[in-house]
Amino acid sequence: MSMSLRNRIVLFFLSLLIVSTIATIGSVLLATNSSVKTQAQSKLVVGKNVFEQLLFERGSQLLNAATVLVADFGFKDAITSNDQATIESALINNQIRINADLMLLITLTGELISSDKQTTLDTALLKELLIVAQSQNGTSGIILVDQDIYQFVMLPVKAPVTLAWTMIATRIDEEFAQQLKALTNLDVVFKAQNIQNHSVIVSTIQNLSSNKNYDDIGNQSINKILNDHNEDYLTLPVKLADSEFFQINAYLNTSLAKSYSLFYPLKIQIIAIASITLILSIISAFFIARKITKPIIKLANITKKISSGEYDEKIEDDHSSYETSKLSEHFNIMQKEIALREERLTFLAYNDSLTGVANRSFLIKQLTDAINLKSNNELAIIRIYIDNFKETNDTFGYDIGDELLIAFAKVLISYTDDIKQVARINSAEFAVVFNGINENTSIEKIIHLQAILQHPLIVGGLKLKNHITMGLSFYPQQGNEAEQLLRRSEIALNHAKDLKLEYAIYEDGQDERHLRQIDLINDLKIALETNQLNLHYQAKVDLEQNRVTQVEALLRWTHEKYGFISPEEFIQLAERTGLMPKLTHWVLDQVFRQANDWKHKGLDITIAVNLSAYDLVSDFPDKIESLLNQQQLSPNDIMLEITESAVMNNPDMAIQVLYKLKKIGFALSIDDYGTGYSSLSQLKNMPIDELKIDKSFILNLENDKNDLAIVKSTIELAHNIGLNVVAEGVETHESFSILKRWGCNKIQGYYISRPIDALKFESWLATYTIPQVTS
Amino acid sequence: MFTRPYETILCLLLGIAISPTGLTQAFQIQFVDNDNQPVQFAVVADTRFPAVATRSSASENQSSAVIDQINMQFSPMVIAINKGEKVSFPNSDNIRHHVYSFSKAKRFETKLYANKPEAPVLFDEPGIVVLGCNIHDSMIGYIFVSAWQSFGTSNDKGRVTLNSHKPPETLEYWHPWSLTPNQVNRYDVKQWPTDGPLVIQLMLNRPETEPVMKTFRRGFGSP
Repeated sequence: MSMSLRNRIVLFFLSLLIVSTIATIGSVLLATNSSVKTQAQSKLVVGKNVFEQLLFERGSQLLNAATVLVADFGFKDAITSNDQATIESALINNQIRINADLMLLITLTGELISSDKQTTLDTALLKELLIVAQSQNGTSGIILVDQDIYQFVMLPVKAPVTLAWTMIATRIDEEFAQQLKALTNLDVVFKAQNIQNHSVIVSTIQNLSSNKNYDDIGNQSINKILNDHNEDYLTLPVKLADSEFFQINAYLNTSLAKSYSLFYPLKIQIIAIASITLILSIISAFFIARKITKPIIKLANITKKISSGEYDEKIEDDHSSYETSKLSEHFNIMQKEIALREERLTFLAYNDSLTGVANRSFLIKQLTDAINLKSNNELAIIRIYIDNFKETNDTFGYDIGDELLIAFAKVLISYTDDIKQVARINSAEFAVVFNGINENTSIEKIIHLQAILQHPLIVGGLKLKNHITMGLSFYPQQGNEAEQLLRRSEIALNHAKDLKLEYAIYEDGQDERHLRQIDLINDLKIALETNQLNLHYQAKVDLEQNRVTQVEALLRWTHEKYGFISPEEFIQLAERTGLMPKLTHWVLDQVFRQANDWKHKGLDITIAVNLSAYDLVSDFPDKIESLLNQQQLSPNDIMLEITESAVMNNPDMAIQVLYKLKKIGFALSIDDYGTGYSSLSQLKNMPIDELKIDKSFILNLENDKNDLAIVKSTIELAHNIGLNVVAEGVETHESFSILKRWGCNKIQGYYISRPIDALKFESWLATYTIPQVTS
Repeated sequence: MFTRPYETILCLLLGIAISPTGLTQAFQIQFVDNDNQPVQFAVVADTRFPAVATRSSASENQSSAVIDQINMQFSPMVIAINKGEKVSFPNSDNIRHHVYSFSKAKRFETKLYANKPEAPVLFDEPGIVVLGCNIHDSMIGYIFVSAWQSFGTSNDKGRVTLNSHKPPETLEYWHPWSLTPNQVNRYDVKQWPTDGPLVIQLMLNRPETEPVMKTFRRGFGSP
């Protein structure tokens, strides 16, 4: 199932909006993130300045205090006293006075003279510091002493030349770090590391358990580090001391999470705005889509009606848009056009284009309707055939023919109100349906109609007199279906034409015969291809040689539905439907094979084959000769039997063909002699060898004097003009005896043998003995 | 620390036996600095004759050595005296000074005074005494208290003349700006030059004149 347009539009807008919303939110998030970073970075840079300023101020204070101290006469007096206790007490006193955390006295060579507390300051470090201090009358900086980081000042004690050096320092402790944090709003981490890699950390970050992160940081760049508790910090390192004894760095940290949290309200606002926009857009997309699809759905419904043949629905223009108005307008036009066109097509479909009367289809429809509506009504279906139409066409041309048909149709239409329908069925065939007449009341009407229709018509300046033949069927006596009634009227018409009657009424059974013939015609074609046909052979006894010399091949067809079909019936059908050449070919082929077979088996038997009138065409002799050659037979092995009527149908052609056959060498026999109209004088001109007296003269020979006389004289006559005589239908010993006595040359009939198939014939022949004639 | 005690004792013993009488010659010594420029205020002593104690010999009225204070400077900046000599510190400025010394050879102070202090100060220990003024840090003066009889201070041409009947064999010399200002240096004379003075070159470290504060601030780096 494909998606609806409305859903498609909504989905399209939805995807578009989701993409744009995601893009907007994404860009805002990116912007805020970068802003957070930038702000954090600038905060760090500013913080660094503040940090350094603060460190400087603190150092300056320390310096000022120390400067005053070293200039103090009493202090100088005390430290030059050479009394260790005095010196120490003086240091402690002054350390308290100037609020320092550490105070040392150092000789000019860097040895520790005294300290206010126990320290393990490296002499090497002190010497190094002294080198710097001596060169510039003092130094300062950040130093690692034991476990503490100090900011220190180192000044000479002069009296008035330098007597010793003093180092005064304040500890960088958490309190100081917190102070820095309060000023810079940054978390500060001081980290000192001595040569032994021992670290000292002073930090404002709670629970800073891992400080490894700080090791990886470069010197000046701002870095992002992950601190404890998964909190991201942006960190700026500040180098405080870097000597061979220790490294001291300060790290200024700003929490990214805190910076990000400032943007939470903004993010929520943006997401809220985006969501509301999205929802509103979906709703409006839904409405727009509905507005677009509503007329389409409406049109679809109307289209459905149109497809079922309703063209009356007018589409209301809802003025929703120019396009839909236009569409509605054109839809209405289309609807009208379709209706018109359909009307025209319907007319063409149901009417004869030449005469304008109904065609066969429409007649059937009308007839069906009439039967269905008024089942108690009586109807007469009359088929009218214009006998002279073909002749008129041939004589005066098709234009006149057409005009004749048009005029004829007009006559039919204007004939009477009793005519329910006039239709043209075939080129020269019309049909009319009469209301309210039956077989008994129809005669008068038919005669009247015939008179009217045979009235001369003026066509193209010619006065034409028509001759018509009619076939009739009646409802409900002869059927209750339109097709059936129409077919039965046609059967009646054909019957009338065959018998050259003015008209004929359908008789019961005609239709069944008709249908059987249609079946047989269809099945005969199949039978030929599937070998449902077979040949039986009936023996002929030569009375002079006193043996079986010939057989007659007889075609047999057992139909699966109708059973045994007489050769007369299906050969007639074959002749009518043009199947005869095929049938003959099949028969000849079979016979020749059989003849060949017997020849090889040493049987001296000639096979007689019946030819149809339709076989007597000019190319037939050539065909049969080539077939004969294929089987390597001689014409002597075959005899051809032709019925008398077949020859008489077209004597000139038939005689010509017979001569050709004779020339090839075939023996020819006239079959069914005595039933046709041939005279002996005609026979005399034919190249025949034999006469075959029709069995109607033989069957009852011993009891019928006329037959006796006819047969006796025919034998004598034939012998007189040099023809052999064959009698068929010999069924009794009496007739056999009579015919033998009269010198009949050959005998064929049930008395000798029924027609049997080839195998049975062979076994029959092996045991058969010619009956003896008793005198 | 400033002198060696055994030397002092030795000098004292010898000083009694050998009196500085008879014909004497003037032996000149020229002090130059790194750039061969004459150096003033260099003190040199001949270590052959230890100084005789003067406390008893010096009368109350005996004129003492003087270091005046002129234009907030000790003048002269350096003097050399025999041990047991007294030095008076007159004040030629119209402001008061507070002269003091924390040196081992002589710790003293003369409280704020104008004109002349009450009494000259006795220096009875050989060594170097550094003088200061408690209210004027830039004032620095030196008194070389000699353990030997013969000594001198170089003039503005860097010359010192020592009188002796034969050339000195070992000399002690000192200058306040030497690299080891608290120590007296020894000089063994291999052969006294005949064509001029004995030249002694000094490595000097001229004192910083810049104020302390200014240099120190640089120590904090960045700002």
